[in-house]
Order: sequence, then structure tokens, then C-alpha cells
Amino acid sequence: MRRQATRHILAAVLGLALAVLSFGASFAEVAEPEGYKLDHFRSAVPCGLKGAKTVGAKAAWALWQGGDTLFIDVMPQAPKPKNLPEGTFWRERTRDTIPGSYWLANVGYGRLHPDAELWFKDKLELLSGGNKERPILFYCLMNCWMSWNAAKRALSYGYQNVLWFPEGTDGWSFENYPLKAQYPAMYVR
Amino acid sequence: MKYRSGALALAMACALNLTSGSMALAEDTWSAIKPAIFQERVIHHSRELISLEAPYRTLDDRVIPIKVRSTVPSGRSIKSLTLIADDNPMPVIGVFRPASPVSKFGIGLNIRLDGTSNIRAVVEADDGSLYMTKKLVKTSGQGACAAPPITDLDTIDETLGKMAFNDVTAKSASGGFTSIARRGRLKLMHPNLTGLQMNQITLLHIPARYIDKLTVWQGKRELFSVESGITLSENPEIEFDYRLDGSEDLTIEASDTDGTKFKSSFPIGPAG
Repeated sequence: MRRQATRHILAAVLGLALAVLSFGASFAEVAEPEGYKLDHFRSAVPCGLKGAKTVGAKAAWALWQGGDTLFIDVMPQAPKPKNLPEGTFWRERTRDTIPGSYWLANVGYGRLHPDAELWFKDKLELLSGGNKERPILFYCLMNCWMSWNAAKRALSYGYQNVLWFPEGTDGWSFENYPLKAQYPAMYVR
Repeated sequence: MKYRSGALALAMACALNLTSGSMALAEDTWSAIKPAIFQERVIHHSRELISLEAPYRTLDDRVIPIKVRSTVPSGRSIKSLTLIADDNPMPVIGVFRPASPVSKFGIGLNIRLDGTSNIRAVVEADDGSLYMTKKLVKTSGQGACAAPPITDLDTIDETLGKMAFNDVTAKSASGGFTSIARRGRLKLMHPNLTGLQMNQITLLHIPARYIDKLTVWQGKRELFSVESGITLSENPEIEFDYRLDGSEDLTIEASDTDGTKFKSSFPIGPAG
């Protein structure tokens, strides 16, 4: 009897803690910076991006099923160093991305090398077929500014239907939507 | 009531989901990298022969202390000790080779991890059999392989290759040594550049430059050597065991991937 009461209290406390946590999170609103986010990429993100449409996992799923939207993963990954001693064992890493996505690594940093920026512009033009109205959705992980920065860049290039999916693969896999291991494409000097 | 237990169930489901997910991922990596390191050879799991100390969760992903103590079945000696960080881009941390047959080999290191990873210690006995133990180390999300170096690379020549050595042997309650067994800690000043770090001004990657070979001599006798990679921390530290044998000094020779060589000697005093 007492044991059951304890269990009820425990459940109540946990439930309350969860409620407080989610409530607290909605209060701590993050302002959109003027320019790009330059550091601390893994931190709380704003609720939206001016000029873009922000979507949750379910809306992203609907877009994915629709098939008209370009999905761009911008998770960073450093290229293999060029000057490794011969025979060094190096493992090129994959990441579980949303199937059909293009993984363009490193285009979400706060500042890009001019050549890296040109590469990103070219990729978007190629993938969109030069159609500035093509819907393009950017994502990486939950609480990651890389997708925010990349989406903002796409807006600056004149894309008119930019979508931002801040929950990224975390929110996607939480809904049990499919993922597929993929290697990145990236600018390498 | 229904809501409360629902929330609890959800919280538990999340915890379970995350755990099983990361475990499965960790083993996937090992099956992918194992053939490149040990081919099809059989590896026996053994916590009895090898102990591996590492934090469950790191404080700083750039400097993670790990300690290994290893031995082999009686009658055998240790040929090599290979340390591996599965999920690092260059998974082999280092291959240690005792220069003469020993039945025990202990080492301590500071390493860096790019993300949560299994750490493995694999001992090869002189008959070619392999023994392994592993530990999952969770990181704090700093992505240490790409973290900017602490060293000011403009003034690197002032400190590059400088070494410090300390006797860190545990003493008895009365403050003395109980045997001729000693433990030393070597610190080597080197940025150990991973090649994954970005120069914040040029926005280009800094070329890799790291210690790839280090040899320790006691007097004229080689103790052990190690072939290492980018997983050793910046300004790496290595702890190792030795026994006083009358030699007056320890000599350390190291070289980096640019071909620069470093050498230092330290007095260790005569045998007690």
C-alpha cells in the first residue's frame, strides 16, 4: 500500500518535472542574430528564421512524401587531411540522413571561405535546376545553428521558398521516419 | 493519473531508445573497422587480463585521461598493445611495443575524442593470440578533433618538442618506495595538429602535423616504442612503468609527421 503510494508520488513528481521543463523551454526565447551565428553552434536556436518557413517533423515528413522539396543536410564534417603518412588508416564517416537528401557538409559555419561559398552556391543552383522558387529544406540536428545559417545563406542567394527544419534528424528519428547512411559532399581545397 | 504514467512511460521510452541506439551504432563501427586493423583474426574478450580506466562521461573532450594495465596468460609475453577509439576518424590511438619480453604492460595517456566512442585495448601475446577489453566513453559535444588548437601556432617554435618528466610512483604510507618499480609521466610539447582544425582567419584547414613515433630508452636499453596518431591530445602526456636497473637516465626520442625529431634525457637516479 505504502509502496504504491510512493510510486504514485514518484510518477507525479516526474510528470511535474517534465511539465516544468517543457514550459521553461518555451519561455527562454532566443533572438535571431543580425548576421550569421559565429560560434556555439550547438545551443538553443530561435523559433524561426526571417524570410523562411519553419517546419516541424510532421510537416517535414509531408513535404518529403510530396517529393517536390529539396532536402539539404548541412551537418559539418572535416575533410580527410591531405598530408597523412602513407598507409594511415582513416575512416571516412557516414551519417544517417533523411533518404534522398543531399548532404552538403560545412556550409552552415558562421563564415565560409569565399571558394567554399561559391561551391555551396553552385551546388544549390545545380540541385534546384536554377529554379529560385524550388522549395529547399535545410536541417542538421536539434539545437544546431548550422541549418539556420545555411538556410539564411540560401535566402541571401535569392531562393524564395526556403524551409528550416530545426529539429533535424533528431526530431525525424523520434517520429520513427526512415534514415539512410550517406557520405558527405564538401568543398575541399 | 493516466497523464502522469503516460509521461513516465514516455521518459522511459526515450531513455531506452537512446541507449539501444548508441550501443548498436558503436558495435556497427567496430565491425566496420576491425578488418582494417586485425583482419579476420580472432580476438578474445578478457577483463581479467586487461583493465581499462576511462571516464564514463568526459569533462573536456580534448584531454581525456585513460589508463590501461595488461597482462597475458602465464608463460606468454606481450608483443604489442593497441589502443583504439572506434569512432574517431583515425581510429588507432597508438600501437605500443615493449622492446623486450614482458608479462605486464601499463600505460596512461591523454586522448581526444570527436564524439561518443568505444575505447578498446587489444593485447597481442607472443604466440599471436589477441585479447581485448573495451569501454564506452561519452563525450560532452565539443568535437575535439576539429577544436582549435590551444597553442599559438605563430610562436610554436619556442616550445615545440620540449619535454618534461616526472616520477609519479605511488609511495608507501611512510613516504618511501617499497620496490624498484617506478611509474613515470612524460609530457611533450607539441600541437599534434589533426588536420581537421580550421584556421579562423583564413577559413582553411590547418595541415596535419602530429607525433607519429616515440621511443623510450632506459640507459642504453629500449623500453618501448609507440606509433601514434591524431587521437593523442595536444601536448600529449604518456605514463609508463619501468624498474630501476642501475641506469642513470631515461631518454625519449620522438618524431612528427613533418619529419622533425625531438630528443630529451632525464636523470632517474641509481637503483635503490
